[in-house]
Amino acid sequence: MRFWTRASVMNKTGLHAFWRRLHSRALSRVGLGLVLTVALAGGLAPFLAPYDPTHQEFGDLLQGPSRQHPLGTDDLGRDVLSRLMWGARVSLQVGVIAVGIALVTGTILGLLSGYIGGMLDNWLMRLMDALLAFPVLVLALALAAILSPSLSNVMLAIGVVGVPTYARLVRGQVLSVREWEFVQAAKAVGGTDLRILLQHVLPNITAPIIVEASLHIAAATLAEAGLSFLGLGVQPPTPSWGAMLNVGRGYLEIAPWMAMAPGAAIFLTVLGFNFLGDGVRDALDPRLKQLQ
Amino acid sequence: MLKFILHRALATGPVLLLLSLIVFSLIHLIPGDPVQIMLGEENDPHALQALRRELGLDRPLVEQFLRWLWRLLHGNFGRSLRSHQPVLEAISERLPVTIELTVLAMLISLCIALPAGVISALRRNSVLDVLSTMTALTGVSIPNFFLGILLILAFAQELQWLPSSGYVSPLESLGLNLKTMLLPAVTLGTGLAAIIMRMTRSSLLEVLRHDYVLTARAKGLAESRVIMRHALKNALLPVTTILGLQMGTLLGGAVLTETIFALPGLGRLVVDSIFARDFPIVQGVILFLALTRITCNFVVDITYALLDPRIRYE
Repeated sequence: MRFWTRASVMNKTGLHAFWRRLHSRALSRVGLGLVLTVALAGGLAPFLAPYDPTHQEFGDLLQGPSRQHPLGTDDLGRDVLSRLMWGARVSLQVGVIAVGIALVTGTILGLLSGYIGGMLDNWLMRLMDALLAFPVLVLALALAAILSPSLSNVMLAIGVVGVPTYARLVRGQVLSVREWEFVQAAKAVGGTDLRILLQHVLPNITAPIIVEASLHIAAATLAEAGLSFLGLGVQPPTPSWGAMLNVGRGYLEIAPWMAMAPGAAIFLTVLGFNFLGDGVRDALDPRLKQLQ
Repeated sequence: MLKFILHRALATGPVLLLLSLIVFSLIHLIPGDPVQIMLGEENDPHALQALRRELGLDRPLVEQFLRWLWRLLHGNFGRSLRSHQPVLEAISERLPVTIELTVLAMLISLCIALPAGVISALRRNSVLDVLSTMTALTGVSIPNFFLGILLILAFAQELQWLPSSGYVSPLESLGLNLKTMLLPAVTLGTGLAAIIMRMTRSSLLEVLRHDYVLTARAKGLAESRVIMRHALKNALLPVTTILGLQMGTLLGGAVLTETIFALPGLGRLVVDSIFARDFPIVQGVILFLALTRITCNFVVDITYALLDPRIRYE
């Protein structure tokens, strides 16, 4: 017998209702559209990008937007549009993987902390409080610098600083769910702790985790752009929006497109994820919408 | 109240211990020999050994941590590898700039967000409400390093009203100081303004549904009095919390803002030190920022308990 189906968001009817509610909001549709556009641009960059993003054409330095180069060229004669499309891959990759690291690690710690309780719970939560005390960007900056700047270390650094949010969230949910009757019933019929956690507790706490993750992707994308902007993220010649913006800053007067294009791309992507995240939150918990 | 403060202070103890352990561990996360990495091309074994001894890295790990902690408790955060200046002295030199930046950013965000949030809540679903909500979402999503560049382009390069970078101490010239700090403060405060605006709006909407607001209206009080004296006072409680909690985010955001506008604050210090591999400074600034954030949270908790007596008895 499955006790948890009534609260799960993952069954067919639940998914259908969720999608209907998500789709009914104009801002969610805009967010979804923006995110899909970025995902398609990044995913199809090898086929759609007009030029190799690292190819330098010294005869075409700092060219303004034209038919050959719709978003112009940079200080090394590279096509800005092609670099923007390839940069979308990096942004989304970092956003999704960093959130994945934070979500999986934080959920495991939160489940253990909330379910086992006692000293483990006490010290784990103090550790999470200590991690939460650091300004996110500064800690990510230090971690990325110490581990040496690279794509994988940026994902790791942003992922690590996101762990406490999920651990705290999941622990709070577990503390409530473990007292529910179906969990007590599963214990009474001799269910193992691992089975109870994975089959009965976890499916009932997915909604807030999904909401947090959908909003966290925007923050992770922004953090990657910030680290790359400071030169401590993805390293050249790999195209990254933050690094492109940083280089473009030096050419604001003579080639403003170099900064405007990546800046607008970061802004629209983060806006898209924020709209979508808000939509997901309202769709999963319609009560919240009354307060909006 | 004293019991509440003591209880909160005791709960902070283990957090501080773990926090210092994290900062201490940072130097040990460096792959390979941290001393070699800090000194770069330097190959002189005596220089390497001297720095290893100076940082205490030649001792057992537990001893290293305890000695480091003991020094911290005595206000000794170590010395910069580049300038040999005490870390705490370097921090105190840069701190006033960062404090001024964050306080100005907070003031600007409050001046914009509170009226916008109140109007939005009172004129719910009107054009004004939709406009403020859209502006707030834009404000949350725009990266401050992009906003900073846009502001420089508009106000420094095109209109030439304000300088694009540099810093003048308020002791030298208050007018010039405010001129140099305006763009950075707007850049840093925009995200916070968006968060406060949304929080004020939803908090006021929630409070306006309570019975005591209905009672105040039923007594025949003027609407302005109902809003200002009864509803807004309570609606601002969560806003106070958000303000305190956002202090840490502001300090983090200051890293990027100070870099864009070339302000000599703590953010610039940490970025410059990272590039110079001056890890004692990096450790010191990170620890200082985390301690500041914990203190802010502590003050917010106490303020909250003072404003809302129910919290003290929970």
